[in-house]
Amino acid sequence: MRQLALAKNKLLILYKLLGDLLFLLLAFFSLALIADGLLSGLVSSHISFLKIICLITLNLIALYAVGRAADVKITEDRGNRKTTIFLVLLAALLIGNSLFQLNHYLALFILAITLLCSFFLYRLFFEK
Amino acid sequence: MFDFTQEIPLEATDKKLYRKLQASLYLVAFLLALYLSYLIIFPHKYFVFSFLNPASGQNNIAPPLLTDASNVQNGKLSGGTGLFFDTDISGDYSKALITLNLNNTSAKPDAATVSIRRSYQAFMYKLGDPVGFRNGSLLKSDGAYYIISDSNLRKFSTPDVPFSLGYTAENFQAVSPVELTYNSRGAEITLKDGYPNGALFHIADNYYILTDQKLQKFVSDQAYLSKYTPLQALTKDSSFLNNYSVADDLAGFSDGTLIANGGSVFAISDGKILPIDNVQTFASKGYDWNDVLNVGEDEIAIYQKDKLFNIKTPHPDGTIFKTAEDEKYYIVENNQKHLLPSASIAASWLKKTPVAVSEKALTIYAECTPKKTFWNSGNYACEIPLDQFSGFVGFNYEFNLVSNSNIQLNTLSVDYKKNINKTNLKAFIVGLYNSIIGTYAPTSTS
Repeated sequence: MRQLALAKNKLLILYKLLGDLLFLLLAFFSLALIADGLLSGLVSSHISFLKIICLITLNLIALYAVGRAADVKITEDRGNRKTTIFLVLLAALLIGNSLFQLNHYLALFILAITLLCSFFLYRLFFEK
Repeated sequence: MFDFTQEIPLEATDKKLYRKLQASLYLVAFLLALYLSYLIIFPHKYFVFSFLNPASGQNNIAPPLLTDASNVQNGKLSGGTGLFFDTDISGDYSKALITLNLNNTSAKPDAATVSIRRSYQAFMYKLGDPVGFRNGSLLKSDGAYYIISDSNLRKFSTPDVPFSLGYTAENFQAVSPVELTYNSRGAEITLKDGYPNGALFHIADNYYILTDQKLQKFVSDQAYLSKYTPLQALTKDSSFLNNYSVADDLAGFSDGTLIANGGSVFAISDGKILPIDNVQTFASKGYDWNDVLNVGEDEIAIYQKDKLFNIKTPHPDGTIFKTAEDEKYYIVENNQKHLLPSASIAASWLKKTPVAVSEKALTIYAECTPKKTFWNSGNYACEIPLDQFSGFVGFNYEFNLVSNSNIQLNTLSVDYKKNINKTNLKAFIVGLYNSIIGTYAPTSTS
């Protein structure tokens, strides 16, 4: 029984570490996206985004598997307004930047349409 | 320290362990970030060629050649024979680490040396025979009149003949007798012969050149002007078109001309257009944006699209180099460079800015002696500092490997590195700034 508890404790530590690793990977991915958005190839010429995405996916799978093994109950996401605003702004910035070479009015129009589509898709899939 | 999973409580001893592991994880992440920053700020570039698998897609060095321009068989290099290979790399690097991986059966390299020089690949071509005036040039010397017809110098039999054909003295360029010796001599032109091949005409707002005794129309005025001046063409009325049959194909731009269409820039070579892959390649070849001609679909349609022109592609035929030291001109033709022996001859070819080169650079070599590496007994490596090549034009490094003994290579590789110093850091920041300006506040020429 004690051994089982010990194993579970180790799994919990692993779970928490995987959470930290996910944060690090997501932070790196966001910074890399911004840097590469500003100057194409600055980061992606050294490390491909595919590798980072694969690492994040593997990390998520490991997080899920360890969470199940350690019997971690994930509470429902309460949603964080600040994070949502930050992510929307970041997405708008990256999309806007990628449309920089276009006519500015056309770029703004495409950006607005993209954000609207994303908003409705989000509502369609995630809202109850 | 922060905890993203506060909802998951740990016992005191486990928490301590978690904090230690968490700190280690962040430290490793920080060190990896530092390493990535180092790779971005002080990049290195690796080139390799495998003689075991010459067709491998991993090879980014073109197949090396021997001194007599023959291919290397199974990596075997005879004693005293030179092995040449090239790498193209943009930007200034601090050093090049050359590594030779020998076959297990190979003898040790005896007094082997690797020498290196930097310029444009096409400017390092072998020197061919000097080239004379361009086809169609009208020349006068010592009271006699000439035309370059089918690359031959043909004299008008008497000074009256060209005037009877409609030319005026202003159509002819005065040159020295020596300058006439660079084109082979052709038969004299009599009045009975009429206009020779190479004669240029301006008929009803179009330019024509007489080719195989057919009038070949230029696809556009700017195509004509990429080769000739308006003064070289005889103005005729439309009835003149009845005297000759008109060729089906159109005459295009001069080889080496840069054209732009639909946001892409192309270099013209041998009836083909090579799309230049990016701005860096354009700049690395020493081209001038002011020389790019905007062309329409009709002008580009006469050309067949060829493979991408990238940093590894040598300058195409028709490219003219001008040396910085003594203002000599060279033209690239058929993998050779040919001297244009005088300013007048060069002017007959040159209708855009020549590519600036340094003749002195061809004579500046750096060399090193490969030594056995301690981590792999089959590897021989040496390092060449590249500081002395800094500021040279051209991004092609030509390597020459010579060994006194017969050796057999499995692979050869070159690793360009930048030293960690203030100069390279400054160069990175300046490059970053220029790239941002180029992307977000481009000037009309970039």
